[in-house]
Amino acid sequence: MTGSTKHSPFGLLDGSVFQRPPNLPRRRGEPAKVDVADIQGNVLRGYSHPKAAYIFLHVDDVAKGKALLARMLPRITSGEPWGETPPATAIQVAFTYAGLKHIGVSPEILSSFPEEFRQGMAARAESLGDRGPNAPQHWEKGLGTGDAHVLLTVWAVDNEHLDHVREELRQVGASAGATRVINETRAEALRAGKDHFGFFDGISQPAVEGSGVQGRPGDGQPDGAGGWRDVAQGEFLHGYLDEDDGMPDAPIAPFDRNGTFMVYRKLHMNVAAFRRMTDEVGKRYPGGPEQLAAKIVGRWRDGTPLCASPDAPNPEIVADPSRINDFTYASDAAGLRCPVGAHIRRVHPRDAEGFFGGRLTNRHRIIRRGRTFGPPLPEGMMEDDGQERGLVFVCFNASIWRQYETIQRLWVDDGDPFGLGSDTDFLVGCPKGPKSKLTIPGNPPFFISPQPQFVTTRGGEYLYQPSISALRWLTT
Amino acid sequence: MGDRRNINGTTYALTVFTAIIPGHEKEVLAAIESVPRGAQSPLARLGTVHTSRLQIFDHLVHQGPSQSPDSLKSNYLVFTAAFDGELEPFLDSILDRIPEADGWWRHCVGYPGLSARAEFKRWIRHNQIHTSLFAVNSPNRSVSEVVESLALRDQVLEFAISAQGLDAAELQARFRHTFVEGK
Amino acid sequence: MSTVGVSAGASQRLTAVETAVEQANPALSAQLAGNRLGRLFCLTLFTPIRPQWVPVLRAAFYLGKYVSLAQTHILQFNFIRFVRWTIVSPELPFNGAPQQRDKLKYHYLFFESNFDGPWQHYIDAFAYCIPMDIRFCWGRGFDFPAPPPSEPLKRWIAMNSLEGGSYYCAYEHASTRMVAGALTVRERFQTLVAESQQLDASAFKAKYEQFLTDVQGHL
Repeated sequence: MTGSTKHSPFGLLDGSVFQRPPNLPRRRGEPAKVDVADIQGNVLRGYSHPKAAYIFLHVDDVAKGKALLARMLPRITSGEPWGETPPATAIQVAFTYAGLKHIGVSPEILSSFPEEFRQGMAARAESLGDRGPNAPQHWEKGLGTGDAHVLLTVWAVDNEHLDHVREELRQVGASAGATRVINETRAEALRAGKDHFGFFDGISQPAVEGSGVQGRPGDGQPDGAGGWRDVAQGEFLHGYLDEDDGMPDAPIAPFDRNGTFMVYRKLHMNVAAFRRMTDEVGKRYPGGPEQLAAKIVGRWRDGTPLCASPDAPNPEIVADPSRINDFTYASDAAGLRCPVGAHIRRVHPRDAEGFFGGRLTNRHRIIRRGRTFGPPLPEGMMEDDGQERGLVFVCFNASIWRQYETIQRLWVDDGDPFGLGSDTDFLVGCPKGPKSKLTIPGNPPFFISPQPQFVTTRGGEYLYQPSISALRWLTT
Repeated sequence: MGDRRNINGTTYALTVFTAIIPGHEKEVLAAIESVPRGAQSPLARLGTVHTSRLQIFDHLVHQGPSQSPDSLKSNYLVFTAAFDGELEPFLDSILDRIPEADGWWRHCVGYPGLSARAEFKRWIRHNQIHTSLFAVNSPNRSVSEVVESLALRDQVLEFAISAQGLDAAELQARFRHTFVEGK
Repeated sequence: MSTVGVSAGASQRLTAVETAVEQANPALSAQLAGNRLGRLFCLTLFTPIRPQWVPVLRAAFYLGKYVSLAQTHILQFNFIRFVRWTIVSPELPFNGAPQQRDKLKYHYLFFESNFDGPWQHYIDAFAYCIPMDIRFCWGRGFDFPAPPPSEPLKRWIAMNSLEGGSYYCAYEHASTRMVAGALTVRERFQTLVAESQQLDASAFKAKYEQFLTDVQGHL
C-alpha cells in the first residue's frame, strides 16, 4: 500500500536547540520504578523540543488505519531515557472514545472505560464552564463532534523536521484512504518559557514517585513535616498504586497498565484584554499594574511566587530551582500574600485551608504538558490584532473525573471550596455574569469586577493514551 | 428525655418510619416523586424547614459473610426533616398548611388523615425514631435568618464593589442611602 | 417483599446517576432528586450494628452531644450542614394490620448527612482526615472497610446508600460555607450599622474599611 514512504532522519542534535529556560534545568534523572519502555514518553517527562503539532485524525478505513499505526509504532517514543540529546522528532498517540469504538475495540473493553471518557468533553461542557463563547457549538471544526478519532502529537527540533513528519502522515494517510486530518494546531514555545500573558509558565508539576525524574521542593505533596513527598504513580498511570494505596480504576486489558487519560483543550488567550484590564484597574490598585497582574496569577511575571515574595519579583528565587516552587498556603490563610482566588492557588491548592494540610489535594493532581500557540502580541499593543494565540492545554491523569474535572469544575468554574462563592477563576474562568469578581485580600480588600473573559475554549477532547504494548495490540 | 436528643440549639431533627400498606408502594413512590421541587415545594410554605427528605425504605443491604442475613417484612416511607423550633408547632403547621401530606402518608398503615389532628400527631409520634446525635453546622440559626443573610451578603458585596474608591463623604452618603434610608 | 424505587447494587451507581443528571437526563432526574439538590447532597445509610457495640455507640452519642465528638471532628468540615445518627431498635414502629411486624436481627444505624457535594470528596475527607471517628461509628459493623483507604469505603457507601424520593432545602443554591459566611457578614454588618450612626465621614470610612477587612473572606 504505502511502502514508498521514506523514514524521517533521526539524527542526534546539538542540545542547544532545546529551549529549556536556564532557571528550570532538566530535573535530575534517577532509576525508574515504572515500566518506562512501555509508557509513552511524554507522560512522565516534558519534551523540550521547540516545535510541536497536535494533529487530530479521522479514521476512514480501519484496516488501513491500523496498518498506518503499525508503521508508526517504531517511532513512538517511550519513556526510556534518550541520553544526552533527544531525537529530532518524537510522536505520541492517543484515542478518543469514538476512535476506540470506530476501530473495533470490543464492547466489553469499551464499557470498562469510565463514564466521563465515554461521554467526551463536549457532552460535559456545562459543568466545565464551556458556556457562551466557550460552548461546543463554537468550537473549531473537528473537535467535540465525535469525528476526532486519534490525536497525534508530534514534537520536533525545528520546522523542517516537523513538516517532514506532518507531510508524511498526511500523504500516507490520505493516499491510502486510511485517515484524514480534521483538526490541527501548531504550537511553539515562546521565548524564555513565557505564556502569551507574559508569565513564566509550566513551573509546577507533580513529582511522581519512581518516575525516573527527581522532583524539586514544592513539586510533590506537603509531607506534614514541612517538606514534600512524591505523588504515587497510580495517580497518573494505570496499573500502579495510587495515593489511596490501591490500584486506580482502569479499563480492562490491554488498557489496564502503563496507559493514562489525556485531556486536550485548545484555549484562546485575549492578550489585549488582559493588558487593558491590568492597565486600567492597575491605575486604581495601590500596588500598581504589575502587582495586580501578579495577584491575579499568584506569581510575578518572572515566576517568583507571591507566597515567597509578595512585594516584588525576586530574581534570586527564580534562579534557584529549589526555591521557585517551594511554598505553601497554610500560613497565608487570608490570602494577604497570594490571594485565595489567585489562579495558581485555585488549580493547585497545596495545603490551603480546608484541604487539611494537603490530605484533600493529593487525589486531584495532574501532569501538565501545555504548549503555547500563535505569535506573540507585539509589546505595547492594547488592541487585539485578530490573530489566534493561546495555549494548548494538555494534562495526564488516571481519572479525568477525579483529577482534571475536579480542578476545572469545582476549583476553576466555582469558588466555593475556597470560600469564594460562585466566583470563577479570574484569569482562565468563564465569568458568571456581572457579579463575577476577584477579591485581592488586604486592609481594606480590593475588588476587581466585572470579570472580563480572557480565555476562550476553542475545542477539546478527552483521550486515552495507551501503553506501547496496547498500541501494538491495536494494530493487530 | 429521648425527645431532647432530637434537638441541637433551635433546630429539630425529625425521623419518622411509617409502614406502607402492602401493595401501595407504587402509589407512594408516585406521590413523593410528584412533590414539587424547590420554592414550589409545599415545605417551602412553612418557612421553617431547612432540609427534608421523603424516601422509600424497602430493603436491607446484606453486608457480607460475617452478618447473618436479615430482611424487612414491611416497606416503609421515611420522612426526615431539620426544622426550626419544637415538634408540636411543626406538626401543627403541617396540619394547617400542607394538605398535600395526605397524598404521601395516606398509603401508610394506620394513617388517620390530616382531618384528625390529635390522631395525626399521635401517629407521627408513635412512628418517630429518636435521633441519637444531631450535629448542625450553624446552630441556632433559623431558616429566615439564613435566607436574609444570603441576600444581605450579596447586597453588601454589590455595594462594596460599586463604592470602591469613593471619598469618605460620598461613601457615607451612599451607604446611608443604600442601607439605612432604604429600610 | 416487593421492590419499588431504586434497587441496591453496583458501586458506581451514585456516580453514574450524578453524571447522568448533570447531562440533564430527565428520566434520571427524579431518581437523583432524592440525593442531590442544587449545591447539596444527601446521604442516607441504614446499616446493622454488632450487638455488643450498641451500648458503646449509644453512650458515645449521648456524650457526643456534650463532649462534642461531632462538633470538633465532623463539623470541622465546613461543607457539612446537618448530620444525624439514629440507633434504630430491631423492632420498627408497628401500626397493626395489615403491617407485618418487623423484628430485625440487629440494631441498625440510620445515618443522614446533608453536605456540599460531590459525595466522593466528602468520603475522602472522612477517610483521610478523621478515619478514627469513622471507624468508631461504623467500624464495628459487619465487613466494614475501615478507612483509609477511601476507595473501598466509597464502594461500601454506594452499596448502602438509600436513593430516590424527594429532597428539599430552603436554600439549595447556597453551600454550607456560603451560609456560614453570610451569617458572619450579617452579624458584622449589624455591628457596623449600630456603631456608625453618629460618626463623621472619615471615621465612618475607617469603620467601613475595617468591616470589609473583617468579612473579605466571606464576600
